Amino acid sequence: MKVTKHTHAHVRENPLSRFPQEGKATPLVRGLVAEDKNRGKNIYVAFVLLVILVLLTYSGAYRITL
Amino acid sequence: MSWDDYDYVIDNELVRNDGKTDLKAIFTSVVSLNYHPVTILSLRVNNNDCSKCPEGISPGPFITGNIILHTLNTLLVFILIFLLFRKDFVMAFIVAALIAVHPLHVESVAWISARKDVLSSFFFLSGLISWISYMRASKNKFLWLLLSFLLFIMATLSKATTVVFPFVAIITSYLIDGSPHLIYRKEPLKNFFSRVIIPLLPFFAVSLFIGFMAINVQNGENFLGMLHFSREPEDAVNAAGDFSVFQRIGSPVMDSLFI
Repeated sequence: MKVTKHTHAHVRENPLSRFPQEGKATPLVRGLVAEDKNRGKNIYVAFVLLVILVLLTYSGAYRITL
Repeated sequence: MSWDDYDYVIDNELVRNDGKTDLKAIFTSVVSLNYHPVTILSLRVNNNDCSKCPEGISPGPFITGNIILHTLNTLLVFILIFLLFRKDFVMAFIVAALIAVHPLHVESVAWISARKDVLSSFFFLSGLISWISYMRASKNKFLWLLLSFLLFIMATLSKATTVVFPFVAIITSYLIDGSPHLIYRKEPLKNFFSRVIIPLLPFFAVSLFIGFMAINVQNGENFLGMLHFSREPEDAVNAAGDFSVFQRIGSPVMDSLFI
């Protein structure tokens, strides 16, 4: 019981250990999410970078013959 | 590069015949001891004539197809990790970048006959993302589940090893639904069964069916007369036995895989 009690205090009821979307975010966590207004834009940039990475990696594949 | 390329592409009438695409033949044929009609269909799409090429066919369209599928898979991995690990942008990018450049995937992308790997991965990852959407959706849940199921079937018809999908879906469900620590799950076990296990029953049925079919076909049988071989099974077995790389390695474990 003691272990459970401590775990509750440290994890379950500790807002810092909770995911912000679960509705118990601390102002700090909420602030971090709010500041990240460019998240959608960043994802598109990540997609473009990943496509470039793949193309650079496999540009040599066309040397293969049948 | 050759190895299985002769079985899958160069000498494969299903891919190279000049007439119309014979869907019935593609969906009832076993190629090189594998039943993967969607893969053969995708290779058929890349069929071409090349007068300058030694075998009369250019590898270009096939390699382009593999690279496009690998690119899509990389983006799907990004989305999957992003959804699974609480929208951690950096983690999703690092994992996807590793998938993009890791040499382990060169065989699957650069080798034409490994089209089944990149294609089945595409359907598997899309199916898993649809499953996550089903778990999280408050409306249109059935549509997400149906989409996940259809993509899973396409994955199994691209490569039989994707039959593990339902087990991966169960593990994923633990990850996405609240705390990953079981003792803190808000949801009673009974609800977990009704939300996860029961919807997965059709998936398990398909897995069993495709798994049984794969074992049957790999043993050179025609699955109760429903399928036929594009080459004689003995030839395909001998071709697998001639896999000289492993014979040169001389490993008894690797050799035993091809007996």
